Amino acid sequence: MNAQFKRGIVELCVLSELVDTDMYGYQIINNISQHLDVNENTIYPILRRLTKDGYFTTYLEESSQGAPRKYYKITKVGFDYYLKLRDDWDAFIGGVYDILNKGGKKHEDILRRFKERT
Amino acid sequence: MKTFLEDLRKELKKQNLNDVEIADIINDHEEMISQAMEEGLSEDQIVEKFGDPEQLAEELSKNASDDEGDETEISNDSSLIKTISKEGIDTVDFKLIHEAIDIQASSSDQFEVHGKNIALKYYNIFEKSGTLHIERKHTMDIKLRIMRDHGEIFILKIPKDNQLKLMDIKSKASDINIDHLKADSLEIKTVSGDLNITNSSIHDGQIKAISGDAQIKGSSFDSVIISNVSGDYRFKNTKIENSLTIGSVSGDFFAEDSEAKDVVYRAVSGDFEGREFYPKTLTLKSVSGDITINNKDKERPIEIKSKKTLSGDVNIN
Repeated sequence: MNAQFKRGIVELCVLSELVDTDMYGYQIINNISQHLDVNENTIYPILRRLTKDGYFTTYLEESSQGAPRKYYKITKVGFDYYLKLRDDWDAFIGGVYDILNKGGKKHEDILRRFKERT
Repeated sequence: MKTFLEDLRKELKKQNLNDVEIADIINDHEEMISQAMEEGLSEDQIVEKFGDPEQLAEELSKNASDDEGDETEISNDSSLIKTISKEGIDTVDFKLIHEAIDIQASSSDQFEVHGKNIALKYYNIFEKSGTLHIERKHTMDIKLRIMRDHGEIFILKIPKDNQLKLMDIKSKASDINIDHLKADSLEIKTVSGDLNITNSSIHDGQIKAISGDAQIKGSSFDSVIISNVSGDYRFKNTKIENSLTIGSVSGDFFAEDSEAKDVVYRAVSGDFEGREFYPKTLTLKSVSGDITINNKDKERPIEIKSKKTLSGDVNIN
């Protein structure tokens, strides 16, 4: 997948993870890589950039095991940005599916379209 | 995992990141790698999870250069962006995020769009089949970046006495100021921006908001529908020919020196207060919010259609 495009989607996912709870970096990376095939070197730069842009703030908190953890917290602007990005995403993916599924989305439909092409 | 961190440090140096930033990034990675080790991930698994230090460093330096690019493109001056002749324009459509919106009447005979702190390449401003569009470009398919609030303001000047069919504003956090607007319909959908409407004459008003506050002064409507979660609403010197319908959770509602025919107010904990407010009929429903109306003119009757509250007080004096 195009790297630029993938970054945009991962950015949306990172924002979404933080909507209801603060998390530390490793936790975010773990949660997202359970669903998507991305690794740290995609997610961490996004966390860092969104923090720089004022969408997240960070704070340190002691953990029961080992060193203190850096938690990320979404800001008001971050949340507004998330809403906007989500709208864009919904519109975009909706349009994509409109195109892909216009002749039906089952495999037989797709095959039929190909066979009956003029 | 020493090698990963050392390689990363080397690569970051190569990308010319400054020492403070490098130390911070290395710190974050020490923390995350130690967490991965605590979880019992093997060295191979960790390498797979964290990927290639060279790529990571490249990605991080791209961030840094993106930021520098931004600042140069935004001018602080308020400037005229576009003028459009008023013929044929009956609708204005805003789709924005946090940019403030200022709508004014002007003595010019053209629509004028002015901007302050606006980086034009992020916006589409155009006229199409009678509609003036002012919108933030879709960002999903182009490069995703910025959007921090840089104090962007759009100022729309409408020829005075021009009657619009529709003023449609969709935004997330824009503060909106509307003065001397004449429109058949005004539709506003926002999350957290504040709203100010003054001296306007609107047939149908529809406002959907989550937490923004609103002030409506010296204006007239045929009907108004407001739905809102926690914002406060104040009406002053405003006349509503027919119905005013308000649904709120915890926002307060205050009307002073105003008129409406049929008022429906539904809220959970928001208070409703009227002073010199003379609706013909009132339907009130709240869970814990108080309802108070204080009017001087005792001759003007207010018909209470229904009045329900669980624990709030209802006082109509």
